[in-house]
Amino acid sequence: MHQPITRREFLAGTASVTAGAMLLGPSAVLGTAPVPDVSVVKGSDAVAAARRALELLGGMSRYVRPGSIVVVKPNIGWDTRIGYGADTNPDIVGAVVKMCFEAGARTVKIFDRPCNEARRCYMSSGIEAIAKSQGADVTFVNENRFDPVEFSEGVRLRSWLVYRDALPENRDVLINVPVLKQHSLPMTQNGNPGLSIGFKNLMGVMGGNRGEIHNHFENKIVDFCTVIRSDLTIVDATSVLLRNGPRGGRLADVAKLDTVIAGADPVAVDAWSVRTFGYPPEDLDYLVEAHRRGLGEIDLSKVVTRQEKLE
Amino acid sequence: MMAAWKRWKNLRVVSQLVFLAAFFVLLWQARYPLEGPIPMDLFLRIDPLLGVLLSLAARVLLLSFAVSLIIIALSLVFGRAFCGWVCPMGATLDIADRLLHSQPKGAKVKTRWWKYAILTVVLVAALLSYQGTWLLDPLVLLDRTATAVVLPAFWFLIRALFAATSNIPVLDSPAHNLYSSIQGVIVPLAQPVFLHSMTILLFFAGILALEKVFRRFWCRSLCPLGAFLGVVGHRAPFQRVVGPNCSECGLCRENCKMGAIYQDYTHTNRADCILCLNCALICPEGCTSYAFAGSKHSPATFNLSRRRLLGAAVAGVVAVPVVKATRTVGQTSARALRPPGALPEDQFLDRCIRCQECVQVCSSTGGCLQPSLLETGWEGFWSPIAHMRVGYCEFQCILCSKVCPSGAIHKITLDDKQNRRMGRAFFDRNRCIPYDRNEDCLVCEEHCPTPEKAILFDIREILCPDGSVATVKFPYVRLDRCIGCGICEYICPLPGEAGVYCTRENEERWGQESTEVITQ
Repeated sequence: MHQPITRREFLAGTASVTAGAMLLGPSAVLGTAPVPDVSVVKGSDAVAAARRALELLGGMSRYVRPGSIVVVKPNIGWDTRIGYGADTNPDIVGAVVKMCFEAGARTVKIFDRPCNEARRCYMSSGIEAIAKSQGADVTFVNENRFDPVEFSEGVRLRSWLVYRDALPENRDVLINVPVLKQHSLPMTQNGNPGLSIGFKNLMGVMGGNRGEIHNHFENKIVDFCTVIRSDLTIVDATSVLLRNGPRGGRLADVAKLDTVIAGADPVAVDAWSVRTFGYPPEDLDYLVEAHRRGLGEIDLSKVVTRQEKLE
Repeated sequence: MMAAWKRWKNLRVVSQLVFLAAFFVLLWQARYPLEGPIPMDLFLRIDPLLGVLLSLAARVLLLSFAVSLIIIALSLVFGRAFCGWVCPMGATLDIADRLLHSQPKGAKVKTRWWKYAILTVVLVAALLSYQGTWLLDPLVLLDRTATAVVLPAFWFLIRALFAATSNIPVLDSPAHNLYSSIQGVIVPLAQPVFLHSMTILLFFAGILALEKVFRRFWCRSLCPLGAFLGVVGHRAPFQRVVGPNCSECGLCRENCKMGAIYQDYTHTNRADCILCLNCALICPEGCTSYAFAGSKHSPATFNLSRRRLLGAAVAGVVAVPVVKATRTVGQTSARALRPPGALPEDQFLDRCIRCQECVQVCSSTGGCLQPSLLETGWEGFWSPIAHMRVGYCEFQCILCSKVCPSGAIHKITLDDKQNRRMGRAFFDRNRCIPYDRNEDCLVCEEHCPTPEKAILFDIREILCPDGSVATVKFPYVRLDRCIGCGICEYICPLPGEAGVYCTRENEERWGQESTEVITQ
């Protein structure tokens, strides 16, 4: 499943790093290693992998300023057990919350609008317990607190209801913590399976009848993300559902990839996740659309990446 | 002396209120994740009438009702003390009587025999295998009304208050935190939707309205459990005793809310006295008291003449075919799915008491179960059916089978549930979005919970009316995998009728396995 970086990609990456460093001036070249756009860390300890992924990006304090209000959006969509790849690995969510507080966050809010009954999902995913133990405010989505948002650049979506706490004016940082998994909805090329990653995970802050997002998904989800942009995306690719997603239910469909992918550019992070899953990101239609609309870089040869394998 | 009776009466009122509160607390315990040491159906299982009639109708000794022997024992010693001190329906009626300013009219006793006639009808019908107690058993009545009407209205009010605060900026954040902390504890996460709850309210309102005729009209005239306990306890040794100083002022008889005092004022109809103690409290001579006075002190009267008894018995016999003949065959009721683990339909209807415990617990998770109206025929009135547009059957949930007091829903395991079919899903290709509009949708496939999806899809190129060619994912059902949980129907984004819906086809009731191997 996991493809090592090719020589061509390595050279292109090195070239872009060098070019970037030259632009930044000699201090960057002579100082510590340049900060990458995306970090990809493999390791069986999910907490260590998540922490290392953020260290490589220059630390959580680059994204979370002291006193800030942080929204962490994991995938708590399904009432399934830990390790089945339907919900975000709770250990990663716990590590993210901890790092936010270490960086001085005032509040860390966690919520999702699940597909199954919310309490079941919050409990069986393990996320509620671990996030609360780290001091996060874990609340159920309150049906009265969805506000309409206009998408002035929208191709298909003019407006949609968005959860109040996720609106840009009500938080300082939005950290998207999706789980990488197969999902038949997103259109792909060359027969590759559709994937739910960062963009799809942000549907958890949508109100209304979300089923209507499903037709012309690649346009609608990109329209949505022109306004609801995550500042940081940390993808859980530890236990990855290969089939029967997004809910799953069989360990036979789960691959242990033990990988965490992080970065600020939502397109680049999703693109790296697609490659981690095993096919070219250009085959996932919504990513092509997101890149075309200027939301981020899909060409991984242009994305400065640090990869590490933990022992 | 008066002061002592005042204290005893206060104790009775406290006892009534405590049991009424306990009734609601226990009912509210019937919710996900179903924790708590006391079984939430305790008030139903202490009902000996339910135990006897269910066992008779189902031809099985239902040991889960053994706890009702406590009430039998109570009645053998104290008569109908249950009705005055314990019954939450009685407490509700006493509250209603206060609000309606109902008069006791203790001298009016002409309707007394009705309840024995009703008891006779349901007993005879149960002997002929029809369990008709579900309509009038007081604890079931209250359970049903509380589940379908009272609790939802209470929750709606709380939600409305919090909805109002969410539009006030200073209150929004603290109110949201408070709301989140009471969700699942005091209010359920989703407001339950019961399509026919008003019929349950109207029935109950009718009973309350009858209280205007005189106090405890229901308990005096209609309640089959009251009749049953009256028969059991009509020779109870603990009873009302009047001393020799009685001045025959008649206050006690006029104020008796059960009409249980005979014209001589000294003797009591022990089949009707509920030990409310009002007579002792009101007696100006202070000569009325309650004591152990042997089993022969006061004679009980049932006013059920031989002619009436015979008439009621005949009515019980006639009722069985009349009601059972309304049973719909599978075709008309096919959209009304039964809960997973439900017994075969005839046994299910004989057992189901329409208490709505399953509906109550379901409303805290998937929310598909509903008291029906006529979807399953008159015989199935108010029985639980799954309405998959209102909710769906949660794949990880077997709570309805855990709370069913009568065994109409067998106590199944999660493995049983996940491998048994409630029915199956169908695509309506005239409505389903990919077929109708040549656009992708697949919300149903996304939500399909079977580990290997029961909803799959073909990717096909299709010529659109404008001449373009679209590549569309067309969903279909794998019959051997579909368990009819209905989440596809629930989540279908179409307004009104869904593009995919479930019917009872292929259903597997408990103890009635499919006769066919289902393959694709």
